[in-house]
Amino acid sequence: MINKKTVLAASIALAYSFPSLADQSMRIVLEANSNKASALKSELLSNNIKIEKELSSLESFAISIDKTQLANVTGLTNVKTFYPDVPRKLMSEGASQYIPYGLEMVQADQVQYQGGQKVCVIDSGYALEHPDLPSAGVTGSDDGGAGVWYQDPFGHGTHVAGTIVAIDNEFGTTGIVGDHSLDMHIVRVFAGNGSWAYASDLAGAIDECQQAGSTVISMSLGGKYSSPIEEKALDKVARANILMVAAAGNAGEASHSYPASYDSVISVAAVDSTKNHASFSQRSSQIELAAPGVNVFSTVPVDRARFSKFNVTQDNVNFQYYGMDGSRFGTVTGELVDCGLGTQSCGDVTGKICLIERGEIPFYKKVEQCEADGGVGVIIRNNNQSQLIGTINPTSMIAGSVTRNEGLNLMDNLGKKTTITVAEFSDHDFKSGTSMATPHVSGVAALVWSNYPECSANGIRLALRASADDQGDMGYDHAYGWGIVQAKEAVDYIAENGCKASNNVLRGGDGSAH
Amino acid sequence: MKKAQLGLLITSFAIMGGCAKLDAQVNAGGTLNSKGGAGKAVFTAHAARCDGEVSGKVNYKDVTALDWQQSGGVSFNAQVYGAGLCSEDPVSPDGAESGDERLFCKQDICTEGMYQVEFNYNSTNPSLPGEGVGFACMMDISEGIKSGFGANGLLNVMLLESGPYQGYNNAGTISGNVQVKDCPSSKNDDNAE
Repeated sequence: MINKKTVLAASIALAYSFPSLADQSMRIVLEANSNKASALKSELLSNNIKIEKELSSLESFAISIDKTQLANVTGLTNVKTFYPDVPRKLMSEGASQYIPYGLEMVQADQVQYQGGQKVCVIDSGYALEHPDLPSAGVTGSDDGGAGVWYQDPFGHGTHVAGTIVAIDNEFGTTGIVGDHSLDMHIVRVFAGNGSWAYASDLAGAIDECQQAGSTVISMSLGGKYSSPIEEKALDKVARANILMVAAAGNAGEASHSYPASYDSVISVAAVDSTKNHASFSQRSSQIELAAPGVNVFSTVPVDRARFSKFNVTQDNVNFQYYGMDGSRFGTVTGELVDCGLGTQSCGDVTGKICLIERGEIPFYKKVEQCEADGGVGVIIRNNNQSQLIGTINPTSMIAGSVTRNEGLNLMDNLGKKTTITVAEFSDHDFKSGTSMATPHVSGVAALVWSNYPECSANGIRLALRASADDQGDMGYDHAYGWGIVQAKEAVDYIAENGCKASNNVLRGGDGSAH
Repeated sequence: MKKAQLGLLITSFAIMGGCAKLDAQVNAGGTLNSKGGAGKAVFTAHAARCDGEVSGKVNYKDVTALDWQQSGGVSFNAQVYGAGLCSEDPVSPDGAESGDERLFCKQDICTEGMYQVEFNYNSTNPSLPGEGVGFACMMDISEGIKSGFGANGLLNVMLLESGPYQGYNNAGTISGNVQVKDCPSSKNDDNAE
C-alpha cells in the first residue's frame, strides 16, 4: 500500500510538473479495489474531493483535484489503480488547420475586422451545427419553400459561408473574418438537390436580406437569362446602400450570367492558387473583380467530405489539394528536390521532400523510390488538368498531390524549405467555381467597409476596383476585370483617396458596360 | 386553331413520334445581351412549318461579342431550311436513325415547347465573309407559367455550327417578342383531332 501511495503521489506530482497543468486542477481516474467502490466514494466525499463522474460498472471514479488536495488523494486506502483522465476531442478530423490559399491571396490576413457589417448569403442553407462555423451572430429567414435556413443538405451554401466566417481555431480552416464577430444572415433558395431557383425567388431573397439589415449580399448563383423583375429589385437595393456580389458563371466561355451581369452587382471571376484565370470562369464585359475559386478549402456539412487533404507551404507558397490514400497523417519539413518521374533513384535525398511528376509508373512506386533514397515526403505534381486523388501502399511517408500549375510553380522553388502535411478532414472539402470566388469578394468588402463605415456601398465598390491586383491584360480586361480583390490595398487606397461616390447605380465591369 | 387545340396536337404527336417538330410558325424580334460583350445583339426570326413545308428567314447582329468584336462582330442573314415546335418526349432512337434529322428537335438542347429553326447563313460582315449553318431554339413565354421572368421571349440557344462564325453561340432574354402561332392551314385543324 505504501508503494502504491508513493507511486500515486509521484504520478500526480509528475502530472503537475507539466507546465500547462501547473496552475490548473487536473482530472484523475481512480479504480477501486474489488467491491470497494462505495468505500472509496465515502473516502472521496469525506476528503472534499470532487467526483466528476462515477463509473459504477467499472468501480471507478473520475475526480478533479488541485495541489492542495494532493495529500488527501495519496491517503486513500481503497484505490486499486489510477491514471490521468486524459482529454479527448472529436476525432472526426485531424487536429490541423489549413489556412486556405485564398485568404492570403486577397490579403484578408492583413486587415482587422472592425464590426458593424452583416453579410447575407443567398444559397442552399447553412450547417448551423458545424464545429468550424459560428452559430451566434447568424440569423436566417423563414422557410420560403426551399427548406430551413439552418440546414444545408446540398452543402454549397455551407462552403460559401465558411470562406467568409469559418472560425480561426486549431482545426479545419478559417474564413476571412474568423473571430465570430461578423454577423451573417442566411436565405435559402435552393432545395436539397441544389438544382434550381427562379428569378422571382431571388428577388424575394434580396428583399429578405435588406429587411435583415444586411450591408453586403453574396450570391454564388446565376443563370443565362436576365429578368426585368430581378433587375429592378437589385437596382432598388443598390440605391439603399447595399453592396451586391455575384458569381460570373462557370460556362467557360464569353457570356453573361445573371444576376452578376446587372450593373448593380459586382461580377466575380475565378482564379486558381497561382493566379491563373480558371478555365471554367466566364468572361464578359461585366466582370469586375477576380478571386480564388479553384480548389477552395472550406466547410461542408459534417461527415460529408472524403479523402485526406494535403497542404504544401513555402515562403509565399500555400497550396492545398488531396493527400495520397495510404499516406501517413502528419507533417514533415525538408528541402524540395526534383525527382523527375520517379522512375529511377533520385540520389541521396535524406531528409528531403521529393517532387515527382505524374506518369509512367504507379504512384506507390514513386513514393517507394523516394523513401528508398532517404526522402521524408513526396509531392506528386499533376501533368494535366484532371483531378488527382491517388492511392499508394500504406507508408510512413507523407505523400500528396498538387495541380499541374502548382507543380510548375514548385519547380521554380526547388531547394527551398518546404513543409507538407496530410490530415483527415471529414467536415471540410475543396470546391471549385465562381461560386467559391464570390464569397472572397463579399468577405473582403465587409472587411474593408468595417474600417470605413462612413463610406457608401458605391465608395467601397470603387475602392475595390481601384486597388485590385491587376492580372491578365494590363488594366481592365474581360477575364479578371480589374484584378484580384485586395483587402489591405483597398484599405490603404481609401486612407489616401477617400471614398466619395455617386449614389446612382454604377455601371458594371469597366464602368462603361451596359 | 386555338391554343387548346394546339395542346391536343402536341399530345397526339408526342404519343406517336417522340420529340418531333410540330407544325407551327414563329415570329420573333428584339434585342438580347451580347455574347459577353457590352452591347446588345439584335435578333429577328420569321419561320413556319405548315403542312410539312418549311420557310423563313433569320437576321442577327452582335457587333460587341467578345472574341469577335475585333473583327467587326457577328452579322448575318439566313434562310431557314428546318423549323418546328418541339413536342413533349425525347427523340426515340429508332426515329432518329430512320428518319430525317430535320424532322426532329435537337435532343437535350431544344426541348418541349421551344421552337427550333435551322438555317443557312450568309455573313454580312465584310471582314468575315462566308456561309455556314446554324440553329436556334426560342421560347414564347408571354402567357406561360414562366411569365414571372417579366419578358416575352427567350432565346434558349443559338449556335453557328460552321462557316466564318463557327462556334459562336448566344442565349438570353429577348426584349421584344417571341410569338409562336398555329399554322393557318385547315389541314392542321384536321390533324388536331
